[in-house]
Amino acid sequence: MHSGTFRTRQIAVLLFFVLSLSFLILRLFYLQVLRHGFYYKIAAEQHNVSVEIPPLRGTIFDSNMRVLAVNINTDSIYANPRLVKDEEITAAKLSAILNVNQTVILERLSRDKSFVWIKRKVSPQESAQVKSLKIEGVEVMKESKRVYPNGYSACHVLGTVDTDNIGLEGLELYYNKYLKGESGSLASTQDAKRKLLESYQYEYVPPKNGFSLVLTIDEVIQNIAERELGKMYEKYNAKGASIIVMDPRTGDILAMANYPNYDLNNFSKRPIESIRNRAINDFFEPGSVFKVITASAILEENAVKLTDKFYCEKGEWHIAKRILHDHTPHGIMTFKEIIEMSSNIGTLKAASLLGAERMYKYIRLFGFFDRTGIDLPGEVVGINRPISRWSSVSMYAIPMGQEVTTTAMQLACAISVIADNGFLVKPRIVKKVLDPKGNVVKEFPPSAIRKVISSNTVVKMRGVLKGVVETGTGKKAKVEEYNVGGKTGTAQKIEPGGRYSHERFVASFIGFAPVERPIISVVVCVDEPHPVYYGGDVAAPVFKHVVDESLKYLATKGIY
Amino acid sequence: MKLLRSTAFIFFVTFMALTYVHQQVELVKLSYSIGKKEMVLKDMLDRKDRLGYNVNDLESPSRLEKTLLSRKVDIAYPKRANIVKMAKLRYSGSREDRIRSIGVEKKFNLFGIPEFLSPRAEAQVKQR
Repeated sequence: MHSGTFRTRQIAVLLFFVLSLSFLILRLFYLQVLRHGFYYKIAAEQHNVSVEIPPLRGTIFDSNMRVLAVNINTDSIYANPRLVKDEEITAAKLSAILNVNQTVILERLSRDKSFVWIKRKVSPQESAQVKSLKIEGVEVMKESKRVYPNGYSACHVLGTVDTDNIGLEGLELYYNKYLKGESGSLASTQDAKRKLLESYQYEYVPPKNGFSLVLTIDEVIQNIAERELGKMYEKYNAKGASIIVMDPRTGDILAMANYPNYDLNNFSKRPIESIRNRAINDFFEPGSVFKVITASAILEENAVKLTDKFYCEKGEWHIAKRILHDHTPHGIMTFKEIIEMSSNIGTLKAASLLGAERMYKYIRLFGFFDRTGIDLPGEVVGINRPISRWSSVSMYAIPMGQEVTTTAMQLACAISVIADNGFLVKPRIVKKVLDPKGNVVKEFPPSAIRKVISSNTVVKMRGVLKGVVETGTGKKAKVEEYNVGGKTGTAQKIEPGGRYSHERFVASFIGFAPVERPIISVVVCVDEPHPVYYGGDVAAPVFKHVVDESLKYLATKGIY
Repeated sequence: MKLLRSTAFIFFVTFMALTYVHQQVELVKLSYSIGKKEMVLKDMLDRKDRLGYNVNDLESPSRLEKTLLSRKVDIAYPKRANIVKMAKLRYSGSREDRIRSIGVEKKFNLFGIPEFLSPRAEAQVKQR
């Protein structure tokens, strides 16, 4: 009896275990074999991730291979709202450190998401402070940030990038396709805390880092130009100012600066008026600096000789229902003296011997109807009418720089014609593109567009423009150690009603140095300086200082 | 005999399974270790980049000028007359050629023959 009961119990226990095990095996079979695909997919989605590896944006160098723009890694703060315990306290703590509105952070932490940005690309101090808080659900991630060691320098040339390192302005935009590079990817397994496991990486496509740019800009000359322009801009309370320093032989832009300017490392807080590159985005009536083109055309066509004399009407000439004035009254002057003293009346009398068609021809040849082709975005071309739309009084305005418009860049190219033996060159700002190993990928060789005037006329014009600085209106541009040539300009701006203003002017100076063998040409344009507004008083001193220091600097480099 | 075989088989399978699990655990540990070291390396490289950026920033002409101005150091570019262009050295050829190219030539000196007998000053560096 006893043994029978024991036997029954034994069988019952055995059956229980056999059935249980069978159930487990069946369940295991169901999960591991029949439902394998389904669960494998879920697990794979949780463990296997493919991460995009952003490329490093290319560096921008100046002509001496000094860094102008580079990327460094910085920390970005993000959060997993599902892991954050006390949203309000967390928001308050982060707000105090990161200087972000507490309400904004709180709103982000309240979202039903596993990832939200708190603040991107923070300073190392901010990052360290956030890390020290050790808040659950708040993490730090590395991101590449574009930085500019020189801050304000060449801000309009270099331009900016957005948070994702995509070019927005300037060279960053124009050469974005070279600079940006290509993303790579990494397929790997991650743990429960989303940490990638190095030993479980099964696919790695390395990112292709962006190419670097080597500019024609020289950091030192850029600094000289910016410093001198800045001094003048503040001294004369100007609305805006631009300067271009160019090598007339190659079209290389050695410096380009505008005021107001902004800090590239903090561009989000810049005022609107500081954004545009005035040297290529703004056009204006050039005024007397345009007499360089008029005089070149007159001499090239042999319409007048330098020694030919004209009566300058003692500063007031009634012609075509207009009264033309000179800045200072003059009597009889030679054509050379007319340009040196910037007489409007004398210039118009000489230009009348040239004729409208030939005047128009040279405006075209000097490139005032075309973009210069500089490799910067947003270049405009002045609004200039074709000869068919010239009025009866156009020939009493255009030769002295009215009824025509130009950009500072076009003026730089035009004055370079005199400096470069009569050739109009295409300006360039990028010399070459380098791959990450430093090999040259692409070069942008200098190119001449056309021959505009003969060498004979060039020699004459250099003499005339030297005279402007030696004895004429541009005495303040005279440089002690070098012979320089140039032309002053003071253009009246047009009031909204269409009349010329007597209060708002554009002061300018265009020139080159040394006269014997020019290696730099400079354009200085100042928008609405006051109380002094003459080009010879406002822009010429800037030209003088920039030329003086730049030539001495180039001499130390053995260039001149 | 059968029991022995079965037991040995079970032990073998268990051993292999444990070895596999151990290997996976080690791999994960190794991943964390590599991850940590990579993080340190990344931090150091980032620091190097930041330092490089700081050097560039400190060397920028505008900053140098401001620093010099604040210290009232007045410097200017040299005048043209003060700049001397140096001829490039020709490094090919013998040592004598090189000396000649920079204009310093060793000439024969009869009275210099017994020079080796006299004591000569030697530069010494004392290490502490």
